Amino acid sequence: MSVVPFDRVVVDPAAADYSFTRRFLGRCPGDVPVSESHIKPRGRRSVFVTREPGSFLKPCPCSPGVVRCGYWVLSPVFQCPFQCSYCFLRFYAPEEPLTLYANLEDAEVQFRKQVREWDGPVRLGTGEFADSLALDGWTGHADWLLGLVAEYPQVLLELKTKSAEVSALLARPALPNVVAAWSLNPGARVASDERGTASLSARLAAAVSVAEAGYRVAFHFDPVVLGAGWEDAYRDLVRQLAATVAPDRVAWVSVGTLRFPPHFLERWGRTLAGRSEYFDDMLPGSDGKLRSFWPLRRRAYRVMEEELRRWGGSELPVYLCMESPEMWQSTFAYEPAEGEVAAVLTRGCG
Amino acid sequence: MVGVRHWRTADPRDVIVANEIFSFSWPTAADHRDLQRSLGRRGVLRPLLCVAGKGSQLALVAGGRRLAWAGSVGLKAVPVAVLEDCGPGELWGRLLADAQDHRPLNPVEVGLYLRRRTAHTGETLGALESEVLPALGLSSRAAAAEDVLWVSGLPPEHRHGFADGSRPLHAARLLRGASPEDSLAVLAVTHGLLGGINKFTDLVRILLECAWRDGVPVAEWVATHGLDSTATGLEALREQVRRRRYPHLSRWEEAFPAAVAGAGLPSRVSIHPPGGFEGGRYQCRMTFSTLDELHQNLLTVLERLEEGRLAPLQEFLA
Repeated sequence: MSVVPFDRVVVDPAAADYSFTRRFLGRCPGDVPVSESHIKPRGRRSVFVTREPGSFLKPCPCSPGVVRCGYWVLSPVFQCPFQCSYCFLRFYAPEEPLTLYANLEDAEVQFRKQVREWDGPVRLGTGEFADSLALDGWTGHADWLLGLVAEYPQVLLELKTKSAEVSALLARPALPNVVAAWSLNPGARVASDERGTASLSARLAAAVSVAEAGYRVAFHFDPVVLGAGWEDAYRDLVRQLAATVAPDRVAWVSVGTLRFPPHFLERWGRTLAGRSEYFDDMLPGSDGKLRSFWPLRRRAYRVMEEELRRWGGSELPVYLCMESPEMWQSTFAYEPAEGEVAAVLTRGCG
Repeated sequence: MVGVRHWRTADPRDVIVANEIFSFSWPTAADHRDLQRSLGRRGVLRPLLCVAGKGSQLALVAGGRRLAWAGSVGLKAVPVAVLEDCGPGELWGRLLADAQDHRPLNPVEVGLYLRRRTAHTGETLGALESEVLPALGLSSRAAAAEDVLWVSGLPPEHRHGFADGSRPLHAARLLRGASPEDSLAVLAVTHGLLGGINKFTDLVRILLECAWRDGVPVAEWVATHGLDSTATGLEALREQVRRRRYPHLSRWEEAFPAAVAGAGLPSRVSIHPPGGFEGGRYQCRMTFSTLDELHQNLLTVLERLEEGRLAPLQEFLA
């Protein structure tokens, strides 16, 4: 288990009696103070154990006008202990504590109900509002999730992380419907902009160990940041991956360039002063999000596509994250039909 | 405590301007002219708001300009409303009602009102959320007051634009996110420039983003790039900054019309890029009034294509 990323725990009285809470507190280091209060603490160095009063599950909101990949999100955690420069959580929820929802029994009920409603295979992840594995040494979420999806082969669970915390995966026989995924950036970018995360080499080593244990793995080149020397850096990154992981163990690869919510730079640009790569020619698209000027992004996707195909061939499932049909056409020379991406990524599942 | 208002007349010399704490008026030049014109035609019609002072004197809380005018023209009596048994909160409520009875407050005045009221009464903005902020035209949450508080704290020469509406409050939202040095530098470089409020706001945004991108203060960035706002209008300055903020887009925007012009298309055929060139799908538009004309246009476009004269557009396509 890595360095403890929190220094206090507050338990909501409404969550005190859940088995998750007892297990979590049992795993917490003895020197981390624990108190009980219904008042949410501030800051990501605090853990708040509480109840999720609503739904744990929802379709990935995606963005209007882009090609959708049919992802679903299950969120037993809100907030991330890592501090990536470009992460929307850093800006969207800067003062939110690491929030753990203890009523996992409710999540299970919601999940089983939803599974009955899904028509065909579905990709499900826990990495939208949190890192799937960063806190796993204390939460045990991975083990719980593996148990949950084991009986549903049509549900393809993706555990997406920037950590190297894979012990829960290695402790069980590999499941065919579980994919361990890593967000990747060049080593220098990891060092400068992904504070608290595992190094690139540690992530790749973790991916190898999981792949050797029989799991499929996935990689997300997201965000590709178009700073000076980006092309060489990302080509090298793919080559490092290619030298480490066999493509036949790879479930999918996604690529996405840096994007920000509308008005992001107006509001937060000052905190990124001097980092020219975060300003670029960032323009609002039809969905309002800021993205790099079209030909710059297109170049990035073409470079990544070229390198990834060199490694994985034409069979490697590669998709663009939150990009328009026009960008798919321009990069891959085809536009996927509605539902096609989801179908390709879940092929053979269930 | 319920305030009581007595109406009477008083000699202007008996009305003392005790202090400025109650003053939140920041009239525009037009407001000044309107007031002078009104006083000149009709005299002081609106009573001055006062509280009891020492002896027979009255302490002025609202109406300083009316009082000054009355003194300047030698009036012997002005109407006054004397507030008695008035708690601080109610006094400020009366002041607001009196001011709004005259004309709507501008953003600087709204900010000054909140600053002076909270300083005088010790009330928090949160305590004013439900009644006072809506009465000022703001939504009922303390954060809604941040922009007006910011503009009311500017040096006087920069307040006027926000008071008369030539500087939009949305720009204040952008500027207060910058350092004080940068926000004042932006206001200085745009001082006196006239133009649409959307263009002004856009100029503020791209100026700040340029300086942030390059990691230098706004004043240094402007000097380094040799931008002289006095020699240009707002639109020209915005265009200069925009070219530096979006260098790749600007190059395309300049090159594209040249590429189209070089194709030698008929005057009634035009080619239009998508906004920001996003998506790489272009429109070719033809206007025609006869089928023969349409036919001729199509033939000419086809000829130009075959001659390779549209080849320079290739760079812009998907």
